[in-house]
Amino acid sequence: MGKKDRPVGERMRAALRAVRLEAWKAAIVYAVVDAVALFLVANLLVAAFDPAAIPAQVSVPDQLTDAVITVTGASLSGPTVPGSALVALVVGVVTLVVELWVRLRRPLIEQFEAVNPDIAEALRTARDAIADEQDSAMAARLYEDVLAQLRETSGVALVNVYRLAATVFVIALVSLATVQVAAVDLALLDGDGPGSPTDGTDRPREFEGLEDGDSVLGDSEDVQAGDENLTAQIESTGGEEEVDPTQQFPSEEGTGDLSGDFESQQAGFAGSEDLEDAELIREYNLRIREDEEADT
Amino acid sequence: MSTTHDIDTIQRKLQDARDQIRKRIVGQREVLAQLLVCILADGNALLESNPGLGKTTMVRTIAEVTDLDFSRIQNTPDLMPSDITGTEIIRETDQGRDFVFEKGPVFANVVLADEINRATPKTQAALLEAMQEKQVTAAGETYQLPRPFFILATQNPIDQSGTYALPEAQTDRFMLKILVDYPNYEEERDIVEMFTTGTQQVPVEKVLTNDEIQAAQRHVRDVPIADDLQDRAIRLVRRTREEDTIEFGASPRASMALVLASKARAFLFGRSHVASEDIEALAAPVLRHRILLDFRAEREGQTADDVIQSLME
Repeated sequence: MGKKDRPVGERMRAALRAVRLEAWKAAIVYAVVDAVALFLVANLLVAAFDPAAIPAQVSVPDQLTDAVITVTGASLSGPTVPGSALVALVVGVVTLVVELWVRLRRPLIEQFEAVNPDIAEALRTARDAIADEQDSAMAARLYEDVLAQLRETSGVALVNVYRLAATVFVIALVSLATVQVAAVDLALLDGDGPGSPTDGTDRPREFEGLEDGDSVLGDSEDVQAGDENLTAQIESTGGEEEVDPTQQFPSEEGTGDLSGDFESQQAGFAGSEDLEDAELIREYNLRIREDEEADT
Repeated sequence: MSTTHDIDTIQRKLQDARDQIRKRIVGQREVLAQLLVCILADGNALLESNPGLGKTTMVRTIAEVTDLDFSRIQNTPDLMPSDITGTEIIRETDQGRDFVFEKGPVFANVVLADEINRATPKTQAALLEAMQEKQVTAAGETYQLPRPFFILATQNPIDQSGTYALPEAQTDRFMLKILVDYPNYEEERDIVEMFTTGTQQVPVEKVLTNDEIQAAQRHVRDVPIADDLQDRAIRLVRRTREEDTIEFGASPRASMALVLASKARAFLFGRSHVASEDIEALAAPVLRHRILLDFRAEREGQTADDVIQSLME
């Protein structure tokens, strides 16, 4: 039986289902786009401000990894996810759920009526007539009228294209900003940013430029006040002469005049006293590097 | 079972009937629509106007284009109930004398009861009972009134001496109270030109049959109405019972009348569902004779229509 041959009441029911589906689609489109936008914004903010309360890496629960291993057969050893991504994911999911709930709370047919006012009263009446299971000639006439009008309307109006385009534009901007923040390693708060030497991970350091001494060596301390003394003897091996791996030191065969006792102290460094010293050291380092590069 | 094609045909004929009536009645479009609404909703109307505004011509024209019997009752203080409903008379036959019921003027499809407030309460009650029950009982016999049956009662807002005002319980039985106002200048000029040149009566065609009107009355009751619109009509009527400016509000009969009249108006205008404009257009005609204003509202010069309008906002 073709669509046209079906009873008009049945066709009306199908049309109402289609209208409700359109409203669902519109709600999902809005919710997904907004959720993605807020996911990216949250990710950006957490990455930029790096609040101390949010850990840099969060371990994936074993139950989850076990499930993944069971399904995929892949081997996973203690996988972690960035804390910022996890927070952003939570924000995105909450946004998705809340927006869907808010948008679907209003009757779907009324949402369609709001953007198609010409058909509003007829559609609402048809909806109520269908709910009351009216099948009189007048009801049939109403259904036919509404079906004819629905053919002239569209559910596209349910989606505000300008609003959607604005959100997509924001998504694009925030995406670019996220890439930029990741590239320059921006950290606005005093947290441990990704890639810093003390980030607590075993990841290789990718930064090859000159760094501040504090960031390399950790907190400064008084070099005069090591709290553990070790005695060591150092003997020269005579330059290019091969060394017997089994040879014990101090050696009687040494040719150097370095047989005296040495008193060692624990390694340490002095924090930069002022900006001029730091700049001077940085300048020396740069020159040394340039010389090395010139030699090679 | 009627098809949507039958409905289209009747609605088209109703439009033709309105066009025919307009050939003779200048202006008064809303009054005309309300009269037809009353017929389609199987109700009755109380028409208030000054003399000389074409009430009789209008009702007679409606009867002409709709193939309905028409009768007119001029109410006077000495009019007896049997003068309206009919009476038993002795008639000479071949078998001898026999009592025969002679039907009164109420036995017509369209009855114009002119100046109903000039009849005595007893006669008014007889007329209104016939209007409500759609039947007349005389000498123990019950006689059904013809269908469709429509009473248009008129009353004059001025010259109240020697009149018996209809009590609220009686006016509640009229579905609509229609106010006829004076025509504007252009309309009055057309009326003068129309009725002072050529033939005295502009001819109209009969476009609707009795059966079609009864079919239309059946369809009207089936016109779908959205739940929220029906709720709006009911809430409006209920608010008349709570409003401070109204001493006595409208009864549930008013709620039924408002919804049914709205359905009839939707049908008259070719629609298949009730629209909010139907309720807004008919709220005042349905309610204005069913509410009694508080004396303070009257002192401030408010009319029933003003209060109803404020209730709708």
